[in-house]
Amino acid sequence: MMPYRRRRMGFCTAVVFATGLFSVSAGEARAAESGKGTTIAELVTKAKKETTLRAQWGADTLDGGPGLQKIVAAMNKKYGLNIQPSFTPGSNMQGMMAKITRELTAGQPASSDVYFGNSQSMLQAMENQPLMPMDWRALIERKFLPEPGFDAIVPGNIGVAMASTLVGAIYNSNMVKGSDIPRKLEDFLNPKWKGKIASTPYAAGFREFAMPELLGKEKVVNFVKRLSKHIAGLIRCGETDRITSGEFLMLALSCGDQEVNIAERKGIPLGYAIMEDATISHTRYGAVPKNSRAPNAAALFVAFLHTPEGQKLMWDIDGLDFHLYPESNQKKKLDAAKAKGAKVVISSPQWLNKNKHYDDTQKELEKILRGEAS
Amino acid sequence: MEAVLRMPRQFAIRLRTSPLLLTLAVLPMLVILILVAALIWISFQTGIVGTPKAIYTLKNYTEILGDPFVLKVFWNTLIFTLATTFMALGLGLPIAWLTERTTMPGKGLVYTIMTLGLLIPGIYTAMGWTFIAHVRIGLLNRWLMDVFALERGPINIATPVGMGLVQGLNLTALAFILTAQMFRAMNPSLEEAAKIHGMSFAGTVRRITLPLAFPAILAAMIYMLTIGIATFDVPAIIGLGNRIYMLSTYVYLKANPPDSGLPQHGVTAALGTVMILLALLLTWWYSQVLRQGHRYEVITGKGYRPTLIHIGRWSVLAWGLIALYFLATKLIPLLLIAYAAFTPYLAPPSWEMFGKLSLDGFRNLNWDLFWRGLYNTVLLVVTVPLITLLLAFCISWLIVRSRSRMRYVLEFGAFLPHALPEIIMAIGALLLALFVLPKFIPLYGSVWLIAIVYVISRLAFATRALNSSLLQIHKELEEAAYTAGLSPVRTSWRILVPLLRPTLMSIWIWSAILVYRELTVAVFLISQESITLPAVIWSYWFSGAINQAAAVTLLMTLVLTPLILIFWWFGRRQLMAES
Repeated sequence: MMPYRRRRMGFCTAVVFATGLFSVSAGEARAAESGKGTTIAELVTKAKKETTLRAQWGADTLDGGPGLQKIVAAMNKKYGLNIQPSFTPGSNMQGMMAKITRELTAGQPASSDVYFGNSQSMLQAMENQPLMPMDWRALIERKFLPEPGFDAIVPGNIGVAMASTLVGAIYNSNMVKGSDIPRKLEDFLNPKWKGKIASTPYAAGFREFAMPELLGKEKVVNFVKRLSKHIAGLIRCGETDRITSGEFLMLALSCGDQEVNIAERKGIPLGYAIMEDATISHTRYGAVPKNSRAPNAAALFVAFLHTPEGQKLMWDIDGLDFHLYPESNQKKKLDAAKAKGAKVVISSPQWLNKNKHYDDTQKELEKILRGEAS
Repeated sequence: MEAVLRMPRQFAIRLRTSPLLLTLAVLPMLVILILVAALIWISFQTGIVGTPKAIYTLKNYTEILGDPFVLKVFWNTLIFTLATTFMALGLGLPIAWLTERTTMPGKGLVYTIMTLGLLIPGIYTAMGWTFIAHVRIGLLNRWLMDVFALERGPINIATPVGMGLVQGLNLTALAFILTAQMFRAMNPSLEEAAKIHGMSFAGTVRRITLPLAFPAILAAMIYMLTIGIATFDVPAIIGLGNRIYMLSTYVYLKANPPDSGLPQHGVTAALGTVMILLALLLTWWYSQVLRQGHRYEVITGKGYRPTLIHIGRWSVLAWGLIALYFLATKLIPLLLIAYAAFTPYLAPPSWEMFGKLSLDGFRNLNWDLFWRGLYNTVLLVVTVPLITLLLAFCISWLIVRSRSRMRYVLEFGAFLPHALPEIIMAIGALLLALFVLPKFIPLYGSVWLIAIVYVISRLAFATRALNSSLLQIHKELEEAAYTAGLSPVRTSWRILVPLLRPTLMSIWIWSAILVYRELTVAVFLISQESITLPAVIWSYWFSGAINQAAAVTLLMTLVLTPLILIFWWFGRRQLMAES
């Protein structure tokens, strides 16, 4: 009996794997069909058969559900579509990339039809290939301003940059004023802030500062070890409520200044400081998962955010736009930082990929910040 | 099992020829076994589990057992669980005693307050207590700092003990329910004898009341320890941001890593296996305590009637304790959550902030998400209790009426979910739905995956309650129905269901309430299509949108009101006692 049972088990397992593999290859086939040599007009035609665009990212990203509704409404108007947006708050950008990858591996549809991520998650995507290759240069009808050493298209055409934001510190402007506002990394270690400030669980900013072109690993690891003993906790970049409430007085460092851009308009007491040591322009990417249930609407969503009205809408709802467009507000901020003589690097997966130890460094910094390593 | 009587041959034959009943009873056992087996299988894998890329190894176990940080997590969990149990019993036990054994007035109101305690989700108390006792922004701390000119708030809930006390407040109502019935049934003759012999009140409590109540207290304690090991909401809301990790939040981090790493399912499964072992150990202890229960029998004879202790003016103090509990766990957190829902951004309450209150938080709410969450929650509240009842009825009927030795296996299987932390069942179900069942049974991302885990996790409670009630119904009634030619289904429907109605109703309402407020399972299994209301609140909170989390919590409280009314309608006191 046993051999028969084993054979049966083996057969069942084979069927499970075969089914999974088939569904993955089917997804890839659809990806190829949707992506190669497609024009906006073709995407519009195909998107008319797609009724819903499901999106999952942080509730603070692109203003969550209300933001998605505004963007999709404007996209529908521009392209003559009737896509219904459906938003669910999700994990952080890298967490969502991991989820989409896991779902693709298991032959499941993606939780989010369109992906909105950062350079780190795009680096993950380059390794695991869960995103649909598309001819983004053809789909984006505007020309980018030249930026030496930076390519907006992710290798393999799996994503395209569409916004940028400068890394710095967010602080409660009612409680941190004048000379207390941090200007250098060392300012965070002022005894005054001990047990009152926060960092991020994913070492935002520090993971890039550790790259050889900026401050170098040794210096940053040593600094983060001291910082870890100084902070009261770890919060995510969007958790600015925990700064306005006074739970934490500062966030060292934040993923970008978009929350503060919005807060200033609403009179919310938040301030932003860029470090004189160095800064990074974090890049936000758009992409379409291979297992997206609405790949055409998703590609149009990304393409729309590159149009002048898309860029303005993104600035209005989330304080983000792309510095490679001449009208960009972020371009002005970046130019100002460069003019002050700050060391500035534009983050991209290509840049991160140059340093083979980047991923390990990030994990090491995270462990230090969590208190797992001293 | 002494009460299990021999079945007539005709009855036994019917049992054998009832494949539907057997299938319904055995199906949940299979699901439980598959969940546990999947978890153990995955605990030996690294890489992308469930695929040919996976590598079989013991590394996950060496990693969790050899890492000092994991040992610290275990230590935090232990402290948290002990503090939880201490707080829950420290408040719940005296309130139960006061309600059942004394002449304290307004007992109906006490049951009402404790009912509210059961209905309100733990996430709500955790959010409220962050505003009350956070070391920097907590109102209580700010007041103490102002009054005593302190530089730092003296109370810190962002510690394992602090979080345990908050979770203990959440479980006070449960401790009350678990012990109130015991106090009600306690034979007062020993206490009266002690009083006649001149023993003081304190001596009577110490030497008579507490020893008699010991098994019930110990059982409640073990039950709460089991819950404490896997609690997610309070450690997540208060602990994650403050770098205080418990087993549940550590598992969450490994399953949802903040960095570029893939989820470490092997490590989470290995942790889950360890958690199962811990919970099994506690459950074994629990069953030993229950078996020894007969040594402490507290009811004697049919004519017994407990005598109440006159507490006179002390009832004012007793009501003070109950009022304090109500204020600390319900009213103040609710007021602070309401404040957070109406503020444009989160800041400590002040006249300036009160001037800024508006409805913007509600206007900007993602209503589509709210309705989706509500729809799924209502769907689960309606279906899960019904399915639980159906399966539990089949299992209990077989356990009580069958003479087969297999009934012991069924009994063990039905009690097993009590030993499986919900978080572990959720992870097992997630991995199973992702990697094993995807095409045969497309459950991933569906609300039915959550429903299955909810049903399984409620089975232990439902079968225990039904076993007791079925034992009290003599089989002659069913035999008469069979003789009259009724089928097993019609016999159950016409004879057993009417007789069991109070118990069935009690199980239904309890299951509905627990489903309504459940977060731990949902947080691991939700998707676009299956998100529940507590998970919506958690998603907002975790994304930093605290105002929106507070707004949804307020709306959820409004939706909760009909459920509270139903609970009251069906006679809260009797139902709770039977539970």
